[in-house]
Formats: sequence, C-alpha cells, structure tokens
Amino acid sequence: MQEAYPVAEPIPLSERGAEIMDEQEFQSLYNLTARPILAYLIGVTRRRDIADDLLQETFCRFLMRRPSAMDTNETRRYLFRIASNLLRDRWRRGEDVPCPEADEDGFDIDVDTQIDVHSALRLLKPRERELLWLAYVEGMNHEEIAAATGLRAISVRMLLFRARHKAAGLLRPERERV
Amino acid sequence: MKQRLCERESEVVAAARNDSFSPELNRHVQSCSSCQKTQRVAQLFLQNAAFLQAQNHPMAASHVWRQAQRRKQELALKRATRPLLFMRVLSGIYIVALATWLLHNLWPSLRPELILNWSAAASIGTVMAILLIVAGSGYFLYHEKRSGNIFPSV
Repeated sequence: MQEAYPVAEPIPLSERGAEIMDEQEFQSLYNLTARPILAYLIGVTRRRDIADDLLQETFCRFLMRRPSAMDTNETRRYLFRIASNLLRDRWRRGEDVPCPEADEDGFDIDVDTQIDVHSALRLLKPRERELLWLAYVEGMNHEEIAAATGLRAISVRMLLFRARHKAAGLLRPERERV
Repeated sequence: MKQRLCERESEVVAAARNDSFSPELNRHVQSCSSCQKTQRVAQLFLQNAAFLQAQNHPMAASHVWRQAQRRKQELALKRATRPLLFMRVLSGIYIVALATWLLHNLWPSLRPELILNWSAAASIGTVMAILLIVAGSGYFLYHEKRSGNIFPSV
C-alpha cells in the first residue's frame, strides 16, 4: 500500500548525543526535514520568500542551540517548534502581509470536488492553518501542538475545533471556486 | 445541535495520514459528522502538503550550514571581546578617579609639600592600576576558562 504521506526515516545522529553535529549529519537531517518544514511554512504564510527565510533561520537556530540527544520524532518536533516560534514572532511584529496570488504556479485542485484548495485555504487565518497543519499533516496531539505554538492545550483544543469547522465549511463541494 | 469532537478523531487523522481506513473505521466516519469533517479537512491538508512539497525545493544544505557557522563565529567573537570591553570600562573609571583625586590634591597650591603628595599620589595610582589590571586579567581568564573552546572548529 502506497503511503499517502511518507513517514520520516530514522535520522542518523552523532553517538555523542548530537551536541556536536558535523556537516554530513546535518545534511542527512536537512534532507529528511527541510522539505516538510518548508511546505509547512509556505502553507501557513502563503509566501515562498518568507518561508525560505524562516526555513534558514529555523535550521540556523537548531545548529546554534546544539540540542541534547533526541530521537527522530523529537528532532522533527523540535524543528517544527522553532519554525512555529519564528512564525509567532512575525505575527507579533505585525509582519503578516499576504502576497496576493503568490502561488499561481500550478493549481492544487481536489479531484473529487474540483475545489481550488489553495484559494480555500487562503481564506483561513494563518493561526488556523498552523494548527490544522500541525494536527493533520504532522499528526501532533494537542499537548505537542501546545508546546510548539506556546498555547495552552485546552486553547489548542478549542481553536482547532473552530478551525476545523471553518475549514470544513470552506471546502464543501457546493463552494466550488476554480 | 452543539458539535463535539469525536473520541476517534485521532484514529481518523492517523488513518488519513497513512491512507489506511479500515472498513470498521469507514463505517464509523460515515455515521459521524464530526469525523467526516476531520477526514475531509485532513485529507485536503495532506493533499496540499504533498503538492507544496513537490512544487517547492528548499535551498542547499551547505548554504544553511555555512550561514550557521558564520553566526557561531560572530557570537564567539562577541563573547571573546566582552572582557576587553570590561577592562576598557574599568580603565576609563580609573582614569577619571585618578584625575579627580589628583586635581583635588594639586589644586590648592603648588607647595614643596606637593612633591611628597605627588609621590604618594603616584604610589597610590600605581597600586590602583595594578589592582585593576589583576582584576581585569582574572575576569578574562575566568571567562575564557568557562567558555571552553571559544572558536569552534568549522
């Protein structure tokens, strides 16, 4: 059975607890995690240029902080946490200007309903996209999302419920927008 | 009717991520409006994620690595020069204090006693300078020892 969403392979880290990571180890880690994180950042910000900057900043901070030994999932969660913190910093500074019609290179059309997924997702707030992405794409539970976003778990539950309800309304087949 | 989250939402999400809905789970989703929404939204987000990953390629790892190494060096340099800044500040304070003290003692008059005062002033100034240099050097050595390898290997 073909996986709809590939599960991350084990990340080979230094036996010294990953406190010192050489370039080869970093390359392995980057190859496994950069693309999903970039997709996440683009999905939330809807801007490729900002996502590139945030991606670079995410990995730079990861290398600067020299985290202690973590397994595959913990490393991935940690990287998403850094990325989410950077997003939150942007929102606090008021730097949340969406680029109009930025993602025109190819349309993401749902084959069942012919809904333009990009257009539908653009109607969600960045925070809503963030929570839904972490929950449904990354499979994080409420506590993990809370740790990544700085929210309380009970707030995550409520916000996620509302975001899901809103998204479901936007993605109903009768709201076709191609 | 107030919508509630279904307790099987996490199962639905996991099944959507692995594209592996069991017949039993499928039956549940068909009968649960909450799980229907979850499945719908999860599948579309996963579809969008796959699309974005296919369409967008991240920058080269080597570029990010070099950027991180540059930052590490800048941070290390900043930490290494912090004791020098401390000593510079101390020097400034010492000069101001000594100048103030000398002016206070020299200003009244230029008397023969001044020669003795001048020797005393010079002695005190020398002792103060030695003490401050020792204190600054000690701080520098302590900071160097504490930070370990100041310049990381590239």
